[in-house]
Amino acid sequence: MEGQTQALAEYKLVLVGDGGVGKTTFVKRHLTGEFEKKYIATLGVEVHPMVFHTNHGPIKFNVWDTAGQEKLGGLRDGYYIGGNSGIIMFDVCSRITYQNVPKWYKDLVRVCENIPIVLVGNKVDVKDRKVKAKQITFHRKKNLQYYDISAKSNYQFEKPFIWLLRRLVGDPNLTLVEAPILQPSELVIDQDQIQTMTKELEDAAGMELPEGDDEDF
Amino acid sequence: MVEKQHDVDYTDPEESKTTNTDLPEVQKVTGEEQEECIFKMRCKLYRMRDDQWKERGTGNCKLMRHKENKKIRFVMRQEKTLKPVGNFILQESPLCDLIPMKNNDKAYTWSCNDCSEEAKIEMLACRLQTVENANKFKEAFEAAKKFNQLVKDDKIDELVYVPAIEDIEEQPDPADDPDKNKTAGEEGDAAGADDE
Repeated sequence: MEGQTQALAEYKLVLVGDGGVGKTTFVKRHLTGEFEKKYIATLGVEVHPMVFHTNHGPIKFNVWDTAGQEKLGGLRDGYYIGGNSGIIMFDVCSRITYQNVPKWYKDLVRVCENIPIVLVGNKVDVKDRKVKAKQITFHRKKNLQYYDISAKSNYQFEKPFIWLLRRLVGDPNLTLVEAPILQPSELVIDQDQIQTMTKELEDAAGMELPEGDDEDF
Repeated sequence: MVEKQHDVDYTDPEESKTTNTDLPEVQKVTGEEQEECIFKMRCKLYRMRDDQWKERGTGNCKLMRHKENKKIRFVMRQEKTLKPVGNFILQESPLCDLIPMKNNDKAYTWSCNDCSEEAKIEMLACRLQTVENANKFKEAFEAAKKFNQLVKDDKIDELVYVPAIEDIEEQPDPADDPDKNKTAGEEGDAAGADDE
């Protein structure tokens, strides 16, 4: 899907914030649909291309998912060089991650002056929210955009990208559109494969779906 | 805090290439222009990865019938981002045989040659919102599979055409005004996330 169309423009997006706020889970959610519950700290940086189809054509972000944990930081602000846009993420269930936002902001703008930056508070699906909406004020002073998001429920998970795209393209009315979906090919299955496939599917039918049956959507 | 001085040259020689863009509006191409929608239902789609079911997307799954070659495919996009998460022809067995999930009466699994990314045989599973919807899904899916078999066998006079239904993507919600600059307080209240 990402490879089917040539992006018309490419932007480097730097994703920063404290360790464990959900940066990698957010990226993975966008890339595969999967919601990763396990915490595996990112080492240094992981770069992922992410294409969005807009009314101005397909546009690619190269998302630089950086390590939040200080000791795993690698080149740190060396990763910010050439950044065209930024997302600073904190966890609304952890006050310290919000208190560290000014530090991330300062580091980022020291290297990337005048880039559009979105502040996002993740995990708003959690009942026991610690950083209340009214306490979130940092973005006002710095003229950033702010969004409550949840990588788990997908609440507003597309909004930070749309806002950045609007700024980068210079169209406040930019919208996402359906990505073109090609005609699928058919496949001939040989007889040997049939038995294996049938067995695999039977096993799969016995395995639990994530969230089982108790989550509304 | 003491202001650190730059000790590295941060100017990027590539920068001008990536930022200087002038992108005119373009006509959207969905790839579904030659098809009509005959079934549409909200669901959650899963994909087998590393011997586990992993979420693939939430949105409307659709059955689309091609106006010329008649073939019916399954198409699904992730809501909000509109990225393809499912795209396959309802082919003959052993592909596209629906198996009920053992621990979930609203879900089915099947194998197919999914082309939402690169073409690959995948095990997918789909969870519907209600048992009733799950039954409707099964009925439509199996009828489409049978329809495709008849097309393949060139039994054109035996085809039963399900009427086409309206297929309009949901409009973006009106609260999503361009470049609105709401305060965090308003955002949070609207979200109902602030449970004080």
